[in-house]
Amino acid sequence: MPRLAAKLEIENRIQEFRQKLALTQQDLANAVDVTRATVVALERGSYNPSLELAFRLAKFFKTDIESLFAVKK
Amino acid sequence: MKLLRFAQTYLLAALPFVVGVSFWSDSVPEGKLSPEAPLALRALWEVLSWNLMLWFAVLIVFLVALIMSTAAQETTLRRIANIRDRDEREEFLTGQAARVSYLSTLAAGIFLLFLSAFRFSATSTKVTISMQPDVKSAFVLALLVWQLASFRFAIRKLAAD
Repeated sequence: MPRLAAKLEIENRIQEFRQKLALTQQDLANAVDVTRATVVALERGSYNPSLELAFRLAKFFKTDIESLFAVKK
Repeated sequence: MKLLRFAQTYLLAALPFVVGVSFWSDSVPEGKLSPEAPLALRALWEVLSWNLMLWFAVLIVFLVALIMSTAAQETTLRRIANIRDRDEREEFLTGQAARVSYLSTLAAGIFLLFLSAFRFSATSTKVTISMQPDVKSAFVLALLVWQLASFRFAIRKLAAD
């Protein structure tokens, strides 16, 4: 049986990008079609988004995924 | 689906009348109103009795639909369990909660099976454990088998999609 890989710790700059655009968490939530609670969890780092949501966020901030998400060192 | 929603609403709305007539029938000798009872009372008795029969018929159809149809499970159980997965995180949370609840129900089922299948008797000198499976343990066992089989089936189906 394959063993589960060790979990990677991922950090993001969603809050920083959002504040640059002077958006509220609700604005961002509406823009990427999630609930405000999800934006809160993403910014807190307690939830890692799916690849699809990560792309949606990157597209919304007009950046690439690597600028938005990184593996914690 | 409209029919299912109607059935849900009917089952809930008619429940007080079903409970009411059940209590009422306990106080009526042989489950029949005397012919001297006022007409309005007898009419009410008739209406409530027919309602009771209809309620059980709808309940059986509804429960069968609940077991057989995934759509029925989705609409009904979401309402009962207050599941609101409006985005991927809430779907993830629902999945995690379902996992916890599945495992705890399985553990409780195994415990109940153990309790119903074994008899314990203790005297001052010895403790006796004997196995006495009965209808209750067969039901619990059937439920456990159903739970495990439906889980495996769902996993295989989801993995194949």
